Amino acid sequence: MSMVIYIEKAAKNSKLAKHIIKKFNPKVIEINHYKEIFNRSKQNFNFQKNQNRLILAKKDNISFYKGSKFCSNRGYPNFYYSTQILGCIYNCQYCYLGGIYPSGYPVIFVNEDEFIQKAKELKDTFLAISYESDLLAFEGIYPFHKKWIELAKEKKDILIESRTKSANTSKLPKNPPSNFLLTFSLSPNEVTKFEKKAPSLEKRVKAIKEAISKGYRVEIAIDPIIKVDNFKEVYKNFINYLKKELPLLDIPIEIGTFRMNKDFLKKLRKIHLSEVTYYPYEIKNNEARYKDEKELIDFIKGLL
Amino acid sequence: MLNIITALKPEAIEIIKHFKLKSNNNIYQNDKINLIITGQGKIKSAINTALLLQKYPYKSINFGVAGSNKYEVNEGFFIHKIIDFETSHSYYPDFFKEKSSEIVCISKPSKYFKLVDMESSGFFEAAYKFLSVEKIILYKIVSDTPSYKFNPKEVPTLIKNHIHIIEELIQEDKNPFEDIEELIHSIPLTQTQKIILKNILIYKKLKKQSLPKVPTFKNKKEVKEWINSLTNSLY
Repeated sequence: MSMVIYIEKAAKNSKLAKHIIKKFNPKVIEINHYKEIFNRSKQNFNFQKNQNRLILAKKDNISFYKGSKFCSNRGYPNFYYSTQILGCIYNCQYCYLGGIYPSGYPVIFVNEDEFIQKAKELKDTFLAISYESDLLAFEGIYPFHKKWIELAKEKKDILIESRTKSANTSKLPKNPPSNFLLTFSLSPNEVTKFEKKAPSLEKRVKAIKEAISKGYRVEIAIDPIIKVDNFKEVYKNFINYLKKELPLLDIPIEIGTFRMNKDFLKKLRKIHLSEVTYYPYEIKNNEARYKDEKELIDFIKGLL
Repeated sequence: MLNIITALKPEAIEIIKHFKLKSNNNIYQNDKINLIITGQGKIKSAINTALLLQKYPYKSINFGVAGSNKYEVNEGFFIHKIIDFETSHSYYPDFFKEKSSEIVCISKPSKYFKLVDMESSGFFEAAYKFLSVEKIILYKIVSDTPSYKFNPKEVPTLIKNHIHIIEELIQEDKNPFEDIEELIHSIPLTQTQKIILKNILIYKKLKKQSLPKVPTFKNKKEVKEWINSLTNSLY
């Protein structure tokens, strides 16, 4: 079925909406407010993930949210994240978005210039622009990164990070400034099978090479580590592959194992019948984690 | 199971014949379908949809005819948006296919819209109390237009022309974990133990491991020890 777009009346005449409608010629369903669709109760996340549908809306009162204390602020006194898009194209079985968002349809806010304007007010800030989404995965729909990269050129006191599993680097502009960071989330293919619709490891590695050649500052996140069958063998082969393909010594690498708030995991189990969600995690302080988390991280560190 | 909700007898008659449904307290049934004829209008549609769903909370389709000032007679559409004419409230069914339309729901026949009927908003309101949104489906066939008067005698033929839509929707919703449910019900467990054991067994099944044999338990302590040993066997 062709693309379906739910569109707020207020978003219809935006440049972004016109671009998407012209490019994809979707079925357009007019709505009053995005929450009429996105915030409904009793939605089927997996059913919706299998539909080719988007919600286009205009964000009122744009502000940035404070980043989690569990994530690194990279030494900046301020750490915020932007929610230009709510939700993701991919459907990773371990992703906390399935536990927090009521809908599987992504919402794109069309007033991108207002997001950029608001970001100009920030000072000495680490700003994550792909925090509760995968912004680069949407780059085939609209060139979302262009204006953020221009902003990074202008505002040297902010570090902008776009975190991704996408391989859409061909759509990115060349020669970004060094305060624009692309972080690629990588997993062995034995784990990417739980990352539905996301590109294979090989495609992501190819995208990293392209990003480096275009002048991007690149980092890698091996996070979450998933304890699959033959864990040691799988991750050994994975790291060896990365070492062979990439200048790994020159790329900062972040490592983390699967961890999740236990209530999110409970919701996720209703969405994904998967060995990732149903693994018998240890629950401590309301968080589900691997019992041998430290050993798993030490093992990966030892391989690097 | 599929619930079919129609407003009028002429909308139901061909469905009853085609699927060989038998009447049981005003619900027409076979092993895959429950059909109810609600009567005309939003309120009757809502009341009877709720009555049916209270007993049979399954995927439900409002299948019937509608007027149109845009489409041709005999064209059929899934509905992706319902606008209640009196309240201006909109409803958005999640399940629809390529050929879909919005519909306006009115209280009494007055004017034509792209599609117009008298039951859709009542059906949706009632069904949403029982079902997740993708299980609430509407399919409407154009029966009359400003230049083509409604003729109830033509309705059975219009329905018959689109009965394949119902056939496509009938799918067996088989529970893949039926054996796990049976196993859990065969053991005296506390509510918490039921949840823990169910999670362990689902994980085993997803890992393609065979389900454990249940020993004969002498007391609650033995049940607890058995669940602990199963948990430890997973690491």
